[in-house]
Amino acid sequence: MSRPQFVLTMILVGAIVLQAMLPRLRLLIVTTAAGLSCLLSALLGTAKTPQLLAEVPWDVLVILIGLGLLSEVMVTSRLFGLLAVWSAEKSRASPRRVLLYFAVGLYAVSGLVNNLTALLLVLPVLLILLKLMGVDQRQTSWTLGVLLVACNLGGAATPIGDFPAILLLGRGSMSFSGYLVRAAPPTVLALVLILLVVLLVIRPDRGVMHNQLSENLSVAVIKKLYRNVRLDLGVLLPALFLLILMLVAWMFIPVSTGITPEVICWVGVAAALLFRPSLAERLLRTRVDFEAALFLLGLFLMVGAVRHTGLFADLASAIGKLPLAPWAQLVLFLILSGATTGLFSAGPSMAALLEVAETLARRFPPEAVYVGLALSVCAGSSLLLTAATSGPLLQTLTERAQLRDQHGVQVHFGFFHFLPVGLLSFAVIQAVAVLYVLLAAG
Amino acid sequence: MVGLEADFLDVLLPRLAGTEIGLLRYSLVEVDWERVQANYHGRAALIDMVNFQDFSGKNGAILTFLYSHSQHITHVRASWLRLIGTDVRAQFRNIIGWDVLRRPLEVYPLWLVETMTHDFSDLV
Repeated sequence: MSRPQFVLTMILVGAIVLQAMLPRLRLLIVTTAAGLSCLLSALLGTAKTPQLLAEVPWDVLVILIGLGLLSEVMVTSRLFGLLAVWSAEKSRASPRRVLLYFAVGLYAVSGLVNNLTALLLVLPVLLILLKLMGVDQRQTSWTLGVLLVACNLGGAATPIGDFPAILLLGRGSMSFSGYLVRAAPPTVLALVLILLVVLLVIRPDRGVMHNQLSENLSVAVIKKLYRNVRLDLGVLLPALFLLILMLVAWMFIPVSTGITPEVICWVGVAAALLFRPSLAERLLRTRVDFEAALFLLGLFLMVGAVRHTGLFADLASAIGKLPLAPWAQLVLFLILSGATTGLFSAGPSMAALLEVAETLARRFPPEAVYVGLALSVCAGSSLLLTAATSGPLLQTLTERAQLRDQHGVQVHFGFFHFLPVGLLSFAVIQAVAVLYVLLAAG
Repeated sequence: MVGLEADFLDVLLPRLAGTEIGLLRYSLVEVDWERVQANYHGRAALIDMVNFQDFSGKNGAILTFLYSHSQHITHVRASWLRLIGTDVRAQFRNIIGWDVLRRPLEVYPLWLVETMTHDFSDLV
């Protein structure tokens, strides 16, 4: 390993480890380390800062911010809150149906909006329902854990659901429809497998006393609490219409025309915002996710600095030299990707691993490598509560809700409560990823 | 507010357009007050035992729900006893009780307390 490789990799790895250990300071850590990477790249002669800045995938940031804004418009319409109430009603407060309905609902919603938004909208209704139902610790851990995993799977199902897929779309690694057609079925398979194992084998509601009166009362209270929530069609319809137009454009307009995914996103979101100018101005000033954009900018700069040292090409070459069959090399890369994501979370892992994947995509079918990577990153995101961006949010909201079981003992949701769900989900999603790659790579 | 009182408030609040309304935030059980307030689309502010007197004056009134009443005795929620007093009565133009049951209680009111019917200037 050359000196620039060692120094710049240490900064990247050090920043990723430090931000995982000190999540409260993650933005400060990543932006400082990015500045240091730029300085040392220039001093070591590997790349100059304007070059690193020019190579930042700005298109990915545009899509991320644009979709975030569109999500905010839909939030204003109260659509997701109403869907959550509908799920609560239809589940009839039965523990098994609550898990099933909310998991499927969150999977579908996460395919369109980011996981944080999806959880923020659905959790208030669900937590009130769980509180009224009087669930126990085991049931709460599995219900909330499975919902988190469903969010991750939904995010990986579409090219606009979560950062790893957006990165593949924005960088032109895969087309919109190409990703959707290949990634959605394995994520559905993984969700079905996880739900089957949880509902039929683990049975989180085992040992919980069922009381029809209590279940009926829970649903009645939820309906009454949300009785006057009305769908704002004036906000929702233009946003949905523009989203459909964007999806059609992403699927059918070739990138070679110059109308690239980020342009479609930019113009589509701007058009959706124009329908409600006052609301749009307020959202633009207050609801743009600058935190995520700045965090990813820092990561891209550090990864770019390391890329200029040639380390990622060397890593891909090292994998190719392993005394394993080619398919085994690819599987090894995917499993390592999943484990790395479990430790460092999806954003940092995907930013760095995609560089290696692009080299591997020259030896293997590119779609197999990219979709396999996205699924492995999804598996890793589901391994530990800290790996998913929405994990700490779920933990905080649950603790704040002060759920209690039927004996009045407080129910918690933390790292170790999620661990069994994480281990099961990681195993299932990673297995689906490997299976998919083996089939796709022939 | 998810019980039968909610139906009464849903009818009343739209008819009080232009009137400032405060909803006393006091309960023996944990309540998501923001969610309760959201059902009224900004028509009611959340108030507590400290600032409810902001509504006092010659046009101010307090309304509470009653759960059956007789000539002398009225059943109300425990919070009423924390709120009402001689000084408070003097600060508001009307002290209104709205009977939501309109018939005597059939079971012992575990969550209710008794108060004097003449505490109220108006009974509905």
